[in-house]
Amino acid sequence: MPKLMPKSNPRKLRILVSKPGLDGHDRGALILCKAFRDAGMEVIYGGVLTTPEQVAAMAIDEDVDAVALSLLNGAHMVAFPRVAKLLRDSNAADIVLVGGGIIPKEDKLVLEKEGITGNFGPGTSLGTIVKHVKDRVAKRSRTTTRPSQ
Amino acid sequence: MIPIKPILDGNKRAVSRAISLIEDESHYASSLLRLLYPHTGKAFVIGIVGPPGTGKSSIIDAMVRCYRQRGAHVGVVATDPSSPTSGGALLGDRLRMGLHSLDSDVFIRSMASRGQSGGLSPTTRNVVRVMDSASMNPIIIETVGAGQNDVSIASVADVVVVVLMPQMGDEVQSGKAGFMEIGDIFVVNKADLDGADKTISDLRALRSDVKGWEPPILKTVAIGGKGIKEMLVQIEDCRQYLEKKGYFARRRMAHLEEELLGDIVSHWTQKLKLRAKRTSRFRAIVREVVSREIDPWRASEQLYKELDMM
Repeated sequence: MPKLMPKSNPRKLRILVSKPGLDGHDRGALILCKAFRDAGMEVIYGGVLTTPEQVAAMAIDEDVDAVALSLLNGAHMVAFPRVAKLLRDSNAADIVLVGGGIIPKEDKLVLEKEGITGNFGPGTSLGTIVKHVKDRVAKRSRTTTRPSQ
Repeated sequence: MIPIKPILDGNKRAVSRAISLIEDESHYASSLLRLLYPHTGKAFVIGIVGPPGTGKSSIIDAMVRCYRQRGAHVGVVATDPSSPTSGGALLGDRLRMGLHSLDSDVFIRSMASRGQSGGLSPTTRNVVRVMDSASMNPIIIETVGAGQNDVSIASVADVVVVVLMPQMGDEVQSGKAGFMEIGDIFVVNKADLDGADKTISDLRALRSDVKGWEPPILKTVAIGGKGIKEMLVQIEDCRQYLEKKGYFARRRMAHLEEELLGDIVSHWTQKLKLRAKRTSRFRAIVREVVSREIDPWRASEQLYKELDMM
């Protein structure tokens, strides 16, 4: 019997983009979606005004490699770590988290400790952000498929 | 070996990982599918097809809400196109279904078409099987915003709903071949816009009926959920009609026949291509065609003989 499944395709990088909070300024997030798409990624746009719970749930359903979080309203210190915690609680800490928005320098250190890197501000080139995501995903160790019940 | 129990139990992380393996056509995919296959065939599969922007995702959002009120465990596969240049994709369907993400009995997965024409991804059928084995029922498939030729959904879904909206063209459009022929149910969404009645009468004039089933034409306004309950009633009526007449099982058999033939053909195509290229005469024949010594039809006849295919 012939083997009907061909060789493994290289895994496409899947990324979720969302703005988990009361911030409807989606232009930047949409520009990023397009930049990620043009870099060959499959981008799931989760939209604005989501909750951290929704973002974590979407990340798991979609089995993404990375989640890009953006907030311009100052709530990043609450919302971003909350997404990180929810993913850890769901045995999905291997999903890479990157952030962006209006993020003061002193906050960046705290966020990085939570595993949220990048934290790019306005004016960052798209290339820098795309490269950061690719680098982090490349280093990521995908936990094996043994989800806890 | 991947444990299938968490998948069968509907563990979301297990289901989503399994889907990735299948989507990436991983080495594990075929053995996984073999284990899951005995647990499939239970789900009722609804296909939603229509041009971009007619509101397919919003209709699915409203459908899921209705099915959840009845306590169903719903699966959704939402497809958007892959870029032919970068290979990337912007998957924006679940954006319209945001409120269901937190519902443990709703599983939504976005898929890119990954180079396949026809409106679905090459692995949609098998992704539906994973959801089916996880006891999701119904499973709703949203196609890529369809061009007129995108009819793949008809060989995966049990019932197909075509979603249109007002002011998309005159009655000639509704008589054209392609996805207008595969609808079991037609929905004119955004029916609060001008021209909805004209769209309906155009459709009525030229709809194709499917074996004695005259496809109903419904009005919906997906945002707000208007007309969605009626749509689900029609979907159920259609299913009962197909079952009563024996068409339901026949459709599924036709889908499987097509799948098997497709697998065999693609396997042999690969093999034949390799064999043809390895044939010593291949290059020589190509050169003879280039120099007009022989014509392409005689050349392929010769190759055919050479490959022992006659």
